[in-house]
Amino acid sequence: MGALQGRALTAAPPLLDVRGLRVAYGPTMALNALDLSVEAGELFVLLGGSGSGKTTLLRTIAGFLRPAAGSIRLRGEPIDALPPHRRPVNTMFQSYALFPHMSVADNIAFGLRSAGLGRRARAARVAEMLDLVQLGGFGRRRPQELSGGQQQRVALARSLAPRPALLLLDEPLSALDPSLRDATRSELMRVQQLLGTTFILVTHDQEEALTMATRIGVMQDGRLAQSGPPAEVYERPGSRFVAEFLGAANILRATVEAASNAGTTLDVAGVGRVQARAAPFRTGASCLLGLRPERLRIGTNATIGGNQASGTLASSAYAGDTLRHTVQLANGASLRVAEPLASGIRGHHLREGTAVTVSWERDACILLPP
Amino acid sequence: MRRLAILLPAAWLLATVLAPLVILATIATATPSDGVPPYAPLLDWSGGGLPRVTASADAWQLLVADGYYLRALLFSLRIAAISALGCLLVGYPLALAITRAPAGWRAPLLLLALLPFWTGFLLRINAWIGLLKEDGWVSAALHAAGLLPPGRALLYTDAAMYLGIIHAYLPFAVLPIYARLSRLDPALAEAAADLGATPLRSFLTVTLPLSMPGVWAGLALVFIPAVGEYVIPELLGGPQAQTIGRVIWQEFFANRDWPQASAVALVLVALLVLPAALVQRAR
Repeated sequence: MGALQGRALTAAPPLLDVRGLRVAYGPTMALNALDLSVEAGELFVLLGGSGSGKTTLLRTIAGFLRPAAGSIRLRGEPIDALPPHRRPVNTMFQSYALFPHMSVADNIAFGLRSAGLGRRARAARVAEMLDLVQLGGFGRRRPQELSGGQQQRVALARSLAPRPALLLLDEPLSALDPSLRDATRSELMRVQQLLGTTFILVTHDQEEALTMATRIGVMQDGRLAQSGPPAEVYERPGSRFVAEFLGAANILRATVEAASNAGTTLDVAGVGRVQARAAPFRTGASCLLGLRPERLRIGTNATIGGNQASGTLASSAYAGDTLRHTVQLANGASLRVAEPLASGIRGHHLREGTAVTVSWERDACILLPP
Repeated sequence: MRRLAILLPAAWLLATVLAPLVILATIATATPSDGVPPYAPLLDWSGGGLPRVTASADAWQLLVADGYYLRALLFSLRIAAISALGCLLVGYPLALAITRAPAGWRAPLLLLALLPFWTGFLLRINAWIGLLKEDGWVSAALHAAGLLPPGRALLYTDAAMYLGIIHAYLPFAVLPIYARLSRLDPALAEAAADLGATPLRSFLTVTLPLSMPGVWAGLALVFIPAVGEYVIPELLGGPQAQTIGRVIWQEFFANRDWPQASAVALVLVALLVLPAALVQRAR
C-alpha cells in the first residue's frame, strides 16, 4: 500500500481514473459510486454476472451512457463532457457491429478517415492491421463472407486501427465456438502485448478472466467488489460474494478461538477446530471459512496439512478431469470436494454412504467476514 | 394440402389479375359500337357457319398517332416521380425520428403516422378541399402572410394536387423505411460514433446506405399507384392536369370508347409491371 501511494505522488496519473461513477436506469442504479483506476498497458478484466453493471461501465466510458454523477479521466483529462466520437477510446462490440455494406479494408479504414489520415496513410495502416490479425489478403471481402473468428479479428483490427489510448472489449469471445476461444484468447493477449494498448475487457467467464488479466475487477451490484491480480483475487477473496463468484467455494460458519500473528484458530460448525493463516479477526469474532473444492483431499483416513473434517460420502459425480464428491458433515452441512483423477477412474474405491475424512492445508483456509 | 396451398393463391391471381387483363385485351382489340356494351363482340356469328373475326387495331393506332396519350402518360410519370420524392423527403425523417424515439413511444408514433390512412380516402380529400379553397384555413393563412395573392386559392393547382398525393401515400413510404431502419443493429451507429464519425457522417456513411432497400421499396410503393392516380388530380388539381388516370376515365365514361380506354389501361399496366418484374428478376 505504501509503495502504491508513493508512486501516485511522483508518477503520472493513471491512464483511466473513474471516481464515484453513478449511472441510473430509471429508478435503478446500474453503477453505484464506482471507483476504478487502470494503468497504461494493463489488460484489465471486468468480471461479473448479468446485471452487475460491467457492460454499463464500459458503455459509460465509451460515452454512450451519461453518468448521473462522478468523473471519468483519461491521462488526467476529464472526458465526461465529450460525445463518443470525440473520445480517444474505442470499443470492440460484442456483436462486432461490422459495417455489412463495406469491405473489410473499408471497415478498418473507417476510424482512420475520421482521424483525417490521407489515402496513402490509411492504406498502409489497413495493411498493417490486417497483417497484425493475420488476415492479409482479406481486405476486399465483405464481413459476411468471413467466418465468425475472422469477423472477430476484423472487429479487433478496426477498433485498434486509430491507435486508441484505451480499447474497451465487450465480451469479445462470447460469440465464438468454444473450440476457437482458447486460440483467440492467446491471440488477443499477443496483440495487446505487441501494441502495448491498454485493454479493458468485460466477461462473465471466470477462466477467461483468470488466464488473460493482468488485473481482475469483480463487479457486484454496480460496484467493484474487489480488484487485483488474478491469483490474489482467487486466493484471497475479500468477501463471500467474490469467493463464490470466482471459482467454487464451500462456506462454513466459524468462530475465532484464538488469533495471533502466527495464525488463527477457528471453531467451525460441523467440523471442529481448524488452523488458518493470520487474519484480521479478533478472538471471539464470528466469521466464515471458505474452502475451495480442489484444495480438499478425501479418503477413508488419509490426512494432509492437519485440518480435517469427518462425514459421510453423500454422492460422487464423474466430471472427466475430477470426481466431484459431496460429503455430509455431522451437523447436516455439506462439503463439495473435487478429487483430481490423476490415474483415471479405475483406482477409485470410495462408495456412497461410507464414512470419509476430508483434509486440507492451513493455507487453503479462506477467512471471510460474515 | 400442399396443392391447395398453391392452388388458392393461383386461383385468386387468375380471378383478380389474369382474367381482367384478358378481358381488357379483348375489349382493346374490339371495334366500338353504339350498343351495350359499347363494343362489337370479337367473333361475329351473324353470317352463319364459321364466325367472322372483327378485331380492330384502331385503338392502338390512335394511341401511337395522337400525342395526347403520350403527353398524359409522361405527365403522370412526372407527377408520380415528384410525389414519390416528396413522400421520401417527408417520410424518411419521420421514419428515422420514430426509430430513434424511446422504445415505448415508437408504436404510438407509428400509429399516429398511419392514422390518417385509416379514415376514408374521399373524406380526407374533401377535408383538403375545405382547407385549400379560397376561404379555407390554409389559403387564408397564405393570404395573410402575403404568399398568395388575394382572390386566389391553392385548390385546383398542382401544389394542391401534390399535397393531396403526398399526404395520401405517405404511409407507403414511411412503413418500408421504418421497417428497414428499425431492423438495423443500433450497434452499427454506435460503432461509427465510436470510430470518430460525427452524427452527420455516421448517418451518411452507415444509416442511409443500409436503409436504401427501404427507400427503394418506399419509392416504388408510392410511384406505382401514383402513376394511375385519378381521384386526387381530379378533385384537387387544376383542369390542365391531364393525367393518364383521368384520360382513361374520360375515354370510358365521357366518350364511351371502351376499346380506346382499355388500350390505354393495358399500356399503363405493362409500363408498371414490366420494370417491376425486371427488378424482381435482377435480384
